[in-house]
Amino acid sequence: MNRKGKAVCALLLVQLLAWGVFVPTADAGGLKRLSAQFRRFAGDVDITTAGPSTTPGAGGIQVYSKSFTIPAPKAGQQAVVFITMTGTAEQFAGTFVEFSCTVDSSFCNGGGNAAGTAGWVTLMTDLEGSVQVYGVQYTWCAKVSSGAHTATVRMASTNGTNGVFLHNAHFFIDRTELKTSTADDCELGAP
Amino acid sequence: MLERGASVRKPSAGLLVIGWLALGTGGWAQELPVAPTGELKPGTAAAPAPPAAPKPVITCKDKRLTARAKDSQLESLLEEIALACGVPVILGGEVGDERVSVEINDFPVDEALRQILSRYDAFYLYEAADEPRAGAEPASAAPKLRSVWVYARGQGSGLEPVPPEDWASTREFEKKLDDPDPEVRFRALGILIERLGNGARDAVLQALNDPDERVRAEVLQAAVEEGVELPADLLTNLFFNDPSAQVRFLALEGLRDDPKAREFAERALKDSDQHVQNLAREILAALDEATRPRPPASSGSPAQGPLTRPK
Repeated sequence: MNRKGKAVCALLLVQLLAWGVFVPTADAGGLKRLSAQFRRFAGDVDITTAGPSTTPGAGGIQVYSKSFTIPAPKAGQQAVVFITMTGTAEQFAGTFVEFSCTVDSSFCNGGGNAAGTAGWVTLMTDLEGSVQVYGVQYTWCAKVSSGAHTATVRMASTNGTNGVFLHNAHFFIDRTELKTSTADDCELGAP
Repeated sequence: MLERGASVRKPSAGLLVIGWLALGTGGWAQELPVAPTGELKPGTAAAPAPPAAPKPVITCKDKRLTARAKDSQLESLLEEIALACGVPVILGGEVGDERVSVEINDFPVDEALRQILSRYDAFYLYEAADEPRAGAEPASAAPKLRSVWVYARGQGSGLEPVPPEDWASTREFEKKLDDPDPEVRFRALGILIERLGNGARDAVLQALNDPDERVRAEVLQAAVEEGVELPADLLTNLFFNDPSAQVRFLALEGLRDDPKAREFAERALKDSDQHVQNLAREILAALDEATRPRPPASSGSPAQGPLTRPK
């Protein structure tokens, strides 16, 4: 290659440095697990008769809390956390066990619940029997800013009278960064 | 040359700037356009390489390409077009040794390249068009072709563009540690921590004295997540004295296994930040749990009343 050609190629390479390159997509949108913990594995249980509340962080009892920090997302990206609860729940006939998730002072998802209270989820069917024991599992997503946060999971009894229980539970917190949008970064989906 | 540690990282599929390095074992003749003025038409496939092919004639004016080449190596042809038109063309993998013939007369360079490269996977980067001037037709502001990446058929699938921080050299990021922009500093150090792990420890220690609290917080977070070994007295100092709540939080998290963890957590209960207090409660609860006698397996629920556990 002559001198002129090399000079132009060098210029083109500088431009490429500014533009980036193409690489495999395998790492796009990767999850980072912040925490994996379990509760009530010593034959003990969380128990409550308290009813739910539409106020975030109130109603029922707190069955889990975990503080974590989120780094500043890259430009155009939104930090999203996933709070997963899985365990064994029990409820008496006549009530439903409900769970809610909050990050700081907001519900992870404050939307309505056809079978219970807004901001809470109902995970078990009432079979009108005295013994109702189910494996339950749920994952919430929530947008978060950079910095420190505290996630909590609460459990309540729909009728505020009969007991509900949780034991042998695992909790996981994961984070990722998704492109800021109105569609994919923990937003309402289409049917 | 484009090697590990140089300015451009070579991705798994292979990536070469035209004219810098030749790869590929192809020898097939590509069917290429033969074009009268202003249009492209399919032409005749070239025969295997003759002893001395004439040098291609390539000119580019106002992003319109005129090219005449017979039995030219594809890499050389694209290099000439790239130089004439100012559009970088990057060959990835085993692309470039094929021999081609082409006759293009005054045709938009992007359309000409699409024809020439019709048998390849290719990415075309167009720069956003300028805002049209007042009174001008919207169509007068057209996007400009800025670069083309070329791969063999099927090799472009599963690739996506990435920003410079994902492939630039470690040395480049080290230069950014003194950048006046705090975000540039902590982004650069975050990448160094990810790449070097404990090897970035000295830079981490220096950054934890950065006057910008975002830099201290982001660097401490990355260091803790990547397992960079930080001295306990440094974490203790940050926990007691740093004005950033996020830094104090991370320092306390880093001291969770310290012999004085309970003492630190009890002090943190009085911290001005709610999350630091919450973390302190979690640490104390965990310490209490670790020392609490285990109850018998059957003693979990009350004996009677509405809280009686179903059996």
